[in-house]
Amino acid sequence: MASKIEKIYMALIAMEKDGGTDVSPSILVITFLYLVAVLSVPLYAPQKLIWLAAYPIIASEVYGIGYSRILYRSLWILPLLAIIGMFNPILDHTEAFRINGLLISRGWVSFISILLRGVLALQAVVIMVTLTGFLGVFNLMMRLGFPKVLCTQLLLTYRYLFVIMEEAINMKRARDSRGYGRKSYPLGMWGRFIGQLLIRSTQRSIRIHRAMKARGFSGVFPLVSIKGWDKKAWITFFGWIIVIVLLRFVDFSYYFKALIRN
Amino acid sequence: MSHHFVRYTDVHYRYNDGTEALRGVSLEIKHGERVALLGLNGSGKSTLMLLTDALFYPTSGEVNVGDVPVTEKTASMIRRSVGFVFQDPEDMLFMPTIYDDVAFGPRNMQLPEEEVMRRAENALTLVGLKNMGEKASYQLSGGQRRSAAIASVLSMEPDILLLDEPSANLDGKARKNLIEILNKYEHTIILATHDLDLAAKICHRAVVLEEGRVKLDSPIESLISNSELLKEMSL
Ligand SMILES: Nc1ncnc2c1ncn2[C@@H]1O[C@H](COP(=O)(O)OP(=O)(O)OP(=O)(O)O)[C@@H](O)[C@H]1O
Ligand SMILES: [Mg+2]
Repeated sequence: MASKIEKIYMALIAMEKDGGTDVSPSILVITFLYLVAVLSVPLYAPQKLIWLAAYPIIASEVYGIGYSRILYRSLWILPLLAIIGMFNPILDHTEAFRINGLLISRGWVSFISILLRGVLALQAVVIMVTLTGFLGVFNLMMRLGFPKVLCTQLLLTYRYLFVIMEEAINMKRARDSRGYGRKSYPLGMWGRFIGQLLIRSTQRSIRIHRAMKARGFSGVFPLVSIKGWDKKAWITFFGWIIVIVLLRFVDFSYYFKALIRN
Repeated sequence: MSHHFVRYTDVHYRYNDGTEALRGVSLEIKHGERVALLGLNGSGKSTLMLLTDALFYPTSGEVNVGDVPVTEKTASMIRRSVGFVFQDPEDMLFMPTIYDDVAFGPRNMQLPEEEVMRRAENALTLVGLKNMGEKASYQLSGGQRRSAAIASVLSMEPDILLLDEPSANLDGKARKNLIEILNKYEHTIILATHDLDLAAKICHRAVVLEEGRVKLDSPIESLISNSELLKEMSL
């Protein structure tokens, strides 16, 4: 049976392998703009984020990925965000507003804001990676003039993550096969496990890097084929920019209310 | 590098922990020769190959590929003409798909993308992975991974081919296919292996290493047919 770490590993690999179907440089810029839009929303105005939430939905449907997949892949970050945002409701009790007399503090408002912000940002990134694969993202960054060495570093760091996971899977299998169905291990054993894992994955990374050098790798990752900025790329590019700017700056609720009133 | 000979002159190599892996290897391998590198576990075969591909440098002595001494300065030039299939295919496959792995070398050589594609597809076909390019390495069997690693080097069309234990994990069919590929190969082959039968089917010359020294250098025929000698070489 696949362990949790194997499942994560498979999901990451699948995500990466599916990518590359539509590697157009515009997606990187669009995603970046969207992130700026999301992060620039004031902390105490999470209602403005609601409209920006439309982008991942529209984009995932337009690109045929399906929003449920994106949602599923982005929710794992919630606990992490909850830890980051946890202190806001604890520390900040000043009143933000009341719902039927129930006091909602600014702390809770900013907490919600952090959760939403994180999930939305991640969704946009997941859409991009689903479209291009991580390799595609790094290649696009290079295309757009990011320093090649930096991109290669990022890419290698990212690959290192896989190496660690592969080694962990192997070690876990080896351990379980001799563990006679044992489910938990003493703390000291975990310490040794992690130490061993780091040594093994470092050794393996050295060998991988060596094999890369043997095939002419000189510190800069070779570009995979990427589409240029053709007419279609420009059109989608401006289309998305307009959508994002509208979602960020126009208060649709105002028009909705007006519509309902009429 | 018009003449792709490989020459080792009194090569010593010591690992960081003090292990003397090579203790004075001298050899000359001419262009087009096919040499089997034999010897027990830990006798220094892999180390010698790493030195040949400018991945390690001799602690003392000299390695020459063609007229070029193997040094840090000449490394990238050396690696262009020397192809190296590592002992462990896991170390060679790290891209999202097998195709990307096989195209990695040619892309590093900055060949045009059509040429990259031609070479990658050609190499994949050669090793019998024609329609497997889009798979991720974890989706392949151990033997297929081995074949993919071999393809990732064949696509570079090297003048000197180093293979470290290439038949491990291969089934009968894939092994036969490998022998066929290598026998068609016109350039120099250095093959480290414990598979004597494979060595005999591909190579003309046998070099036996023992504790980092050359213990025997002879035509492979005379080694294989001499059971006394085989025993003496612990093969
Ligand atoms: N990274 C390393 N650090 C220290 N010693 C090493 C290292 N790699 C290999 N050695 C040692 O160097 C010697 C030669 O190893 P090498 O890998 O070249 O042997 P080999 O002939 O390829 O063996 P095998 O048939 O098992 O592959 C061995 O004694 C080995 O223990
Ligand atoms: Mg070896």
